[in-house]
Amino acid sequence: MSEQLLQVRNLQTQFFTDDGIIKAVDDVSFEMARRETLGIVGESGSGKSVTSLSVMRLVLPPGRITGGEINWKGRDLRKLSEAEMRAIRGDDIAMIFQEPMTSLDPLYTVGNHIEEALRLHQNLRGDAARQRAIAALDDVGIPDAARRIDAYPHQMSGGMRQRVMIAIALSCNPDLLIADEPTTALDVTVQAKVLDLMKDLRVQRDMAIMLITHNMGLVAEMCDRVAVMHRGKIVESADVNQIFANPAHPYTRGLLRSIPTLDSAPKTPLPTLDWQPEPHQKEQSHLVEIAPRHWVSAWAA
Amino acid sequence: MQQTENNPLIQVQNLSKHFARSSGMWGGAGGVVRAVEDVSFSIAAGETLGLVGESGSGKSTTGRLILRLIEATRGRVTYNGREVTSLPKDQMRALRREMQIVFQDPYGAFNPRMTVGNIIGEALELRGIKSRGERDREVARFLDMVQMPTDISARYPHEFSGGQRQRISIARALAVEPRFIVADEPVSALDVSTQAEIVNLLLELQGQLGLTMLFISHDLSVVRVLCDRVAVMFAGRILELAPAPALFQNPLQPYTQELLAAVPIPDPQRARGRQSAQTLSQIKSDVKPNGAAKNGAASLPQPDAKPAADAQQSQGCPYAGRCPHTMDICREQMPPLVDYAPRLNETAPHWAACHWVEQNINHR
Repeated sequence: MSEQLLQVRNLQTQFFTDDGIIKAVDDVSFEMARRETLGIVGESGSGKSVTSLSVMRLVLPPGRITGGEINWKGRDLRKLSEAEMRAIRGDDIAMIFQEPMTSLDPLYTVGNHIEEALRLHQNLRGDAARQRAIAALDDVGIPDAARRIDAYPHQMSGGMRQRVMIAIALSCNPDLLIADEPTTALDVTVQAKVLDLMKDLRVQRDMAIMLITHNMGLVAEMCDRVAVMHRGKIVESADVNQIFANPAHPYTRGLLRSIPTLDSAPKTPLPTLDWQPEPHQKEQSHLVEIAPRHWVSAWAA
Repeated sequence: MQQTENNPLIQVQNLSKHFARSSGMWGGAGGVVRAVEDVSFSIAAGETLGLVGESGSGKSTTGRLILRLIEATRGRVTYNGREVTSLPKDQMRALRREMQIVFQDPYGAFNPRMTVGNIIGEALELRGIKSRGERDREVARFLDMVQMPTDISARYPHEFSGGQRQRISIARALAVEPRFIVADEPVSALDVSTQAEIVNLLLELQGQLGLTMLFISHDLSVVRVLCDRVAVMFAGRILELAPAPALFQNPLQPYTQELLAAVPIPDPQRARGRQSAQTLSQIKSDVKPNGAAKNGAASLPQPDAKPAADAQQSQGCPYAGRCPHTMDICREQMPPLVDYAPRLNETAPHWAACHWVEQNINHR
């Protein structure tokens, strides 16, 4: 068993709105080991993104982490000061998002962005920072990095911008990369290349990846383990082969069945996915282990 | 498929749209962007043609040109034998009743201050339905058709989920009783469960109403489910056009092959077995250690670059810069669309524009 990096225990994140409390993340537990890719899968509103933001302690009001532990290399991130947390972000855990354009400042060059990260986290400046930034762009497969470093975000294609985001995220050698729908805004041919890049870098950097996605195809391509979320709860988690071969939860089965694939029957309706928990199922929603490392809601076990 | 050739509802001939490039901003001179270049196809009554390609390929522009939401630079569109491209405005308005469009983001397509009843009612007015009673009955009928509750007329679009809004948007399109619908990425912004429901609704409407459809999408899996034939666009041009089964089982054009190979397979055993088109190490082999490109930056094949402006302007195949089979002729001459069905023993026309296919098809 390789080194444990992250242990999330009974995490609860709630949003306190005028219409009441929304339990966005409701008693969620999972672990991640070094070099492991964990897919967190679910539809919008499932709590998958809020889970990742909670790990980074980036949940904004009216949201708040209300319970549980987030153990990172043995330290509970919930107990750290904001200054200590800033050091963790970027240095230890980095994050990339769906739309790279909104995360990049249009008034700064690509190089400005990476050099800023290097200054804040590695205390690198001047020529040293520039050389490292060029190397970082080269590492993510941007051709002619020495020239491209002076380009502005709008001068690059979507795929190139997402590579830049990955370069920024990886410039400080994080142990965990959280990628929230990193390829959803990209064309399918570009997506394939960005995914290959992430796979390559994971091996080269000895890094773990938390992939937040609604796309089971990406999960199959990328992940070692999968956690399926529905309405703030993990309903099933297992190794990727197990999830696809022996899904135990009706929501997981529905999710797998209702995605169209290149093998889908032409002109034939897709199976629909309309599972909602019954009251007795809500009471039995804690996870039990039905096979080694395969967990599912107790009522479905 | 005979019918496709002989009795098209929509016929598009040599359609082109050139946009003036704003000069200066990109550091270069002005010029034209050939968003759509010499595109021809037909759609038979009752048929759904899928139009696939990446962003910037010109697929959405093609849909808008057919409806004359934008004006073509060159070429002709005929609807049911009448030329659309030269129709005077008043006659065009009458024709709009028969041709509708459904967009990706149904919320952006609505006036947020209009109720659902008014949104659909406005479309009904185009059919001359004015009386309150008839209007209400018709609104209910179309809401029912898209499987929405019929008592939501007084509510507003923002009260509904994305999938429900897409249903309302489809109801509005259907309310004028069109024969032809352009569906521009109608399920791309939806969750898995909602996407399946809307795909099924579109399938049902195809059967029930015999709708003719141009289905624009970057999602090949959805196209597989919904379309009879598929056209593949790249940099403004159609590179392959074939019946869906032939295109998915026997793609000819290297770009179609690249597109299909890039679709993630939701099966971990198979997904890991295959090699994707270009790995990082291959990309980087094109770059010298000092970061300077082997052949100068301009000619460097970029891993996911849009087709370069000058490549688009040149005479050659727009895919030549990315294609694994590029030959000299590919950079010099745009290959014509050729029907390879006879040589493939396929029954329906299977068009592809590719020098490499032309030279190698007999050896397959």
